[in-house]
Amino acid sequence: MSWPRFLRLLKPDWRISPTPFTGFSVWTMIFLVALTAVASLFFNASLHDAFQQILLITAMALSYDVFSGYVGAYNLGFGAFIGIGAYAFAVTSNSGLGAAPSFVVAGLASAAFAVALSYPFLRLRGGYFAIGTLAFAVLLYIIDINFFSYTGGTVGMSIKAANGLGGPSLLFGSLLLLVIVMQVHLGVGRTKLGLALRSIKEDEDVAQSVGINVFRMKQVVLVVSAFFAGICGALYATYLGFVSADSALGLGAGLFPVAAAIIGGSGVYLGVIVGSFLLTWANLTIPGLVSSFYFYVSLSPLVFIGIILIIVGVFIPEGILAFRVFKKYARARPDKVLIGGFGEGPAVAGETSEEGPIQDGSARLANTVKKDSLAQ
Amino acid sequence: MLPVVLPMVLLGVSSIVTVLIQGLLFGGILALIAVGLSLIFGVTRVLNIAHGDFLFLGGVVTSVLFTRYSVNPFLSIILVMPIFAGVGILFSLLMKKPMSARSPEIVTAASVLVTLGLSNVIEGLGGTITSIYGYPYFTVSRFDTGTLYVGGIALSNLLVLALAIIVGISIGMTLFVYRTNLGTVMRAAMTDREVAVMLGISPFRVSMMTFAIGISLAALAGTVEVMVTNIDASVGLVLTIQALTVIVLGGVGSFYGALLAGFLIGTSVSVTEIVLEAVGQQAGIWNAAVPLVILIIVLIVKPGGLFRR
Repeated sequence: MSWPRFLRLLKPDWRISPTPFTGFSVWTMIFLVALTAVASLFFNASLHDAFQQILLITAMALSYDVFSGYVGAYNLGFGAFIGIGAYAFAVTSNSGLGAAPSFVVAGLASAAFAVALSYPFLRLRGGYFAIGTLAFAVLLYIIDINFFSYTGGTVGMSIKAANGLGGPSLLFGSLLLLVIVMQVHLGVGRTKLGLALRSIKEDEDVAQSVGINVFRMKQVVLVVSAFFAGICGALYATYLGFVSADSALGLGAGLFPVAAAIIGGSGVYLGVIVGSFLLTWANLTIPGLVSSFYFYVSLSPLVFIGIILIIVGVFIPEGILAFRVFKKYARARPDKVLIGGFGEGPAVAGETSEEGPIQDGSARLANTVKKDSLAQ
Repeated sequence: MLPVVLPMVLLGVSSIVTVLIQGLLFGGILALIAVGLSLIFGVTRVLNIAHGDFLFLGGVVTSVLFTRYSVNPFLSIILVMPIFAGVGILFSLLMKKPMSARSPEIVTAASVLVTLGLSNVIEGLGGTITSIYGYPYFTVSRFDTGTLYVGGIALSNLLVLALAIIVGISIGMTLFVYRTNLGTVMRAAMTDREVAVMLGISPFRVSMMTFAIGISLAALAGTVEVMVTNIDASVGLVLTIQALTVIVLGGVGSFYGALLAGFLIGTSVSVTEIVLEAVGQQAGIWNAAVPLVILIIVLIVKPGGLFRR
């Protein structure tokens, strides 16, 4: 694909999304900034810490969703991108490069890794893609542990730059990253690239027959996702102050943002944000809450996350945003909400002209009556 | 010939045969998990991430039966398999709503969520169970069956018996799937669900039966696993991924493929171990990586699997 044609793909098109203010994006950003300001000014240490984690996990989940939400393939090996970014950051910042260039290096390393990974893995579909990426993440973990003389293995290596980057600067850095990833997520949906990706999500073969370069579209968006995942991993490593096999490449660390995105509602930025806020908050508070009532019980946080996942999977598999109320408001324009009032419900932007990631089930069912999720 | 001759000189025939049998055993365990996983996936479209954790639970039950009530691990198979068939039926009741979602994508999403959650719960509870049990891991270490001598080579009786059990169960499962009425029903549901339902097969009853069979096979694999090694709660997800490797290698929905690929992967793990030991590396640490490397190579070279259905 030549460059001019490629750049034309990234041009926003009003027919795809009629307004730059898709849904509540501005309100969401104002809310996030306000919450962060409140957190950095008034919260005590533990709440501040919790909010820091929430912001980072949300950024991770959103950058996961930049690929998986639009393409509809489960990238279960997302943790590998985070881990690569974290290790790249650790190595470059410890070797004397400044913190800011190191973040870029972390993102670029992760993106380069995604380019290499895209050639074998993006040919796979559905379940095969999920299995392959998951296997790759586990393989990286094993390699990391076995070459512990270089990587530090489970003990890990410390990040010297983490001492200078603490408290408010890290918090606002994560906020900035989160907002950027959110804008990228929205921006992908607004361009022709996003339109192509939606058609790939609906039916890959039809998309290909119409003339969409399926592989290239997926590759672009995977690399974007990996770039931001790498920066997220670098920030997370800075927050922890060290990188180890378990913190960066462990399966739990990698699958947590994925679970958060699926719980909230993959494909819509608001769903991902809501899901990761809820899941991270639950992860941080519920174990302490339980042990405050039953102090003799010491359960690992995995149990609570698992129970949440089971409940969501059984009752609301499409995510929290699949509730009718949210569905109505998630894609609404704020001005119409204000003018139209909440009583009669807002006019939903582009409901007739576009089929967003959240769409009517019957249309999807008609498309995918006999689509085998593991079919080659 | 060097990779074959050099290890024989360096390590000795006896240890090589033991490593090979261990490889076959590991492959058999993988094959048992993979057959269950493959059946469940084929019939219900549920990618059961918690499958390896049921193996862990099977091992726990065997180990507790042995240490508390001194039940022979080989006899405990008779207890473990029905218990876990019941667990499988309960699990299928849990999965009933996700399985009957309105589109395949939602089925995949919901089943990934529920089984991942279940896997997390079992792994998280595993730590608590282990602390109640008293040891850091589960084992039947005091169970000793003596040694067998075949042509001057010393073999542990346990390994041979465990291998015999796995081979026996594999043959039994093959006969069940291909020669009985219920097996035919299962294969029909795997081949084409809609047509099978049209012909009068109750989809939910087939799913229930498949879950019961698949999970009791996983628990049986756990019994065998705990006889030869120690297991702890973290083993579940890794074994699931290795079993997925086996499925991909064997071709999804292929029964023979899963069996053959399991033994193939087990053997190649042990061959790698022998070669690495002969070269002078510490080989055990790479055991878990070998199936994944094989998986990635197969996915790149031949995405349809080695054995066509």
